[in-house]
Amino acid sequence: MVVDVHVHHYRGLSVSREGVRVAVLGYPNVGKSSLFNSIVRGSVEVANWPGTTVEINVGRVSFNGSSFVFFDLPGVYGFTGSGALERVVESFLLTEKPDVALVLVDSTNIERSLSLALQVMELHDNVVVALTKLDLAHGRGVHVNVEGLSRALNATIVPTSIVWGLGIREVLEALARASKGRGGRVLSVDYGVLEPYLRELSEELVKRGLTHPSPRWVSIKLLEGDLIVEDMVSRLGYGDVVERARKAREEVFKTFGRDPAALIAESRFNLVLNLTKQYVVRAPTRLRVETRLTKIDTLFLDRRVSPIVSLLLASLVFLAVFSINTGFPVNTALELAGFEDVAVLIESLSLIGLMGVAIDTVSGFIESQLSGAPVWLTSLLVEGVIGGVGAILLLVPLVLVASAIVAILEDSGLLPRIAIGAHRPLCKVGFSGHTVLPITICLGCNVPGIITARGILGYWEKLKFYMLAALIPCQARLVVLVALASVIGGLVGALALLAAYLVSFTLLAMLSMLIDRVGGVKSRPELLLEIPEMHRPIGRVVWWISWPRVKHYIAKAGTIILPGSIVMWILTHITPTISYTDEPENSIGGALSKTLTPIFKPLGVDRWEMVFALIAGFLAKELFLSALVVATGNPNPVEALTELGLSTVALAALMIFIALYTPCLATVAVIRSESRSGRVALVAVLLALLSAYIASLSLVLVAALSSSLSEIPTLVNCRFPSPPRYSYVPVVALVIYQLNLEHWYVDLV
Amino acid sequence: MGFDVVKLSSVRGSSTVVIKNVGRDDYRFTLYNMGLYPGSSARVVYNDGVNILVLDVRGSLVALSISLAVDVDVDVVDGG
Repeated sequence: MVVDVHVHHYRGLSVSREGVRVAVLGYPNVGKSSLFNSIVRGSVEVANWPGTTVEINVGRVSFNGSSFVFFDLPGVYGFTGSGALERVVESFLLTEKPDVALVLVDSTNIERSLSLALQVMELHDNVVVALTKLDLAHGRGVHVNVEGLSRALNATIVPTSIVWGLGIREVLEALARASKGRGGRVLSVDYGVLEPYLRELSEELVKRGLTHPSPRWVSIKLLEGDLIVEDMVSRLGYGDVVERARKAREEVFKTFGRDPAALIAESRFNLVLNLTKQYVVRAPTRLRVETRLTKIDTLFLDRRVSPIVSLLLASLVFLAVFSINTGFPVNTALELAGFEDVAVLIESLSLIGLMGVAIDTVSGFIESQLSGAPVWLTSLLVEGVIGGVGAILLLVPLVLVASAIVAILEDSGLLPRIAIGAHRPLCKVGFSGHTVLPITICLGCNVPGIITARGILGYWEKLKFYMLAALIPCQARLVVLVALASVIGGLVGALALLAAYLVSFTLLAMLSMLIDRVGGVKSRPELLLEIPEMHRPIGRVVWWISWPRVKHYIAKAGTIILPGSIVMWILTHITPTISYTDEPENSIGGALSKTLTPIFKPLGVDRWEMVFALIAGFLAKELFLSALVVATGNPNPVEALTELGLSTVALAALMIFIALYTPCLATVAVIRSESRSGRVALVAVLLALLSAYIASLSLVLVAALSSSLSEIPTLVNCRFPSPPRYSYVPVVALVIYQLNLEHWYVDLV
Repeated sequence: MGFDVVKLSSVRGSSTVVIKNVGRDDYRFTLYNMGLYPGSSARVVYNDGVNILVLDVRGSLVALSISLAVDVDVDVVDGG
């Protein structure tokens, strides 16, 4: 009987596997992205591991008549079925059964990174090792006896350096040779006192006909307590073997007072130590760098300085990303300083400004070509279809620049340092230092901010961020907020603007802590990362990392934005009796706005035009003011807002509502594509809507309580006869929460 | 020189420690595979006592949150 194990529920990657399949593995920061992209030269498609948010980059290369498919697996220290990334790597190796495993080992620190190679060699019989960062190793006087190490490990070892452009061809040659010579032997590490237990388990598995993976490897994993392997073996009907392994673990604990997993790790590292003693020489050189903190590191670690430095750097990233793309916030600052012409010039010369001109030109051209066509068709094509495509393309430069800057920070080693510096303040509100950049970028635009959240380590933290990111007011919301603040005018307007931001961030923090409590998360988000050496980023590597992210955005988010744009066109141009209209009031959207207006009355908003603008804002927040202009017929948005005659409190409440309410369509699409879950996107929308309503209603009620209750109708400019009975509930809830009665509050929820 | 088992989170910078026990199951294997298994040694490079601790693990700098280090028992070999 031949028995072959499989990972339960595995549905496979949705990519073609034609050619020699190569799994690329390595520690985090080993230089995997650089080498992978240098081999496939940026020709990458992104596949996500079924049922997870973990992505696997897939690249294809033809070399000397052979086709290769490279699977760039997430950087891990090992695979013992514990973390999400480790589970993906282990499941991939077991189920996809790649033809060759390419393991990357950092030649500047073989003492650590060779351990992963040994783990792969114990499972896979066809392994090629690439020694990375040879340029750095030479600079430090590290010399590796490649031939000797290769012989000792019975594997081809290829020295590489991306900086020198060395070893790429040799890696491909080694992979081509390896793909033809399958069927070698897996590595056997001596596990000392564990050997009798391993032999017993292996013999039992051999008796039952297990062929893949090797019975010895399965035994090692069972003794380690690897949950994936335990599950696989149990599903084969060998629960008794799993039980026997558990008993063996207990026996090892009792007899040797050690965790078998620790003994296994120790044996591997001892072998690494022996190998490095024999085959690695560290020559004394003036250039040799000791492992120590540099001056830059101490800045990021200092308790007082680090949050400021991290915040400054994050702000610089924000400035760079958005100034290049939109002119913001330089344009706003210039506008406030009275240089409106210069501000307009900067906006028009920004990437999005130029892209907007291009899209307008295309729209104008198509409109002129359709001069004889029915008005509704022209409107649908120009506003619905081209408008939708334009909305997708308009964000492409933003996603590209944000991805490139994050790639530069990643590649240079600055990103982990910023994360360390920001960890201290952020972990107080349930986020780790890993979220600092996504939050900063969200202030400009939620779409690239959510895309950069891929770097967040914890699965729960990442999901939480996707659900709450929409509470961070983006630049488009700021434009609307500034318009509303200018209607209020003076210091009160400025304070209302500030309050809208304060409320957003307070709610972000409160909801983050609340979600943790509801989810039963008791510990603070953890930080566990390597601090790699700082180095100059390589331009082409930055491009190769950024471009797939842009392609992913266009492919995934674009499929939602375009249909969404057409649906919005129908809402604003088709009447309930299915005929075309130019008058928003007569459209389905107009009718819907009138139906929804009573919901907004408690906030002091009793005009359908405002509700119509809020609905349009769901497509893109920038559309809020233009929809208001269309609905009111007044070309000046500030005058249009003034004409609606809303009270100061109602305007301030509206500002808070706009700062928080539902993310735009593109953001919803990106949350959906990044989280791989429609439910997460729905929760994000509902949370934002609910928070917006509760927060703005609270402002109205607090304002009312601070004056007399009888003045409520005047204050909020609405006509209900008495304050709604239950509308105080959210205010009371917020007050209770702020009084640190969270336990009671959560129980109540 | 002291050989009392203490929490890694309480060890000051520039001390060399030997890992005695990793208490957190969710990070246990990751720490082991990073080279921080019971019996291994590391040098504490920095400890702010509140949030961050930096270790030199076999020649690489690794930052970990103090809350994670609280669950790691160590022997202090050299107080630095």
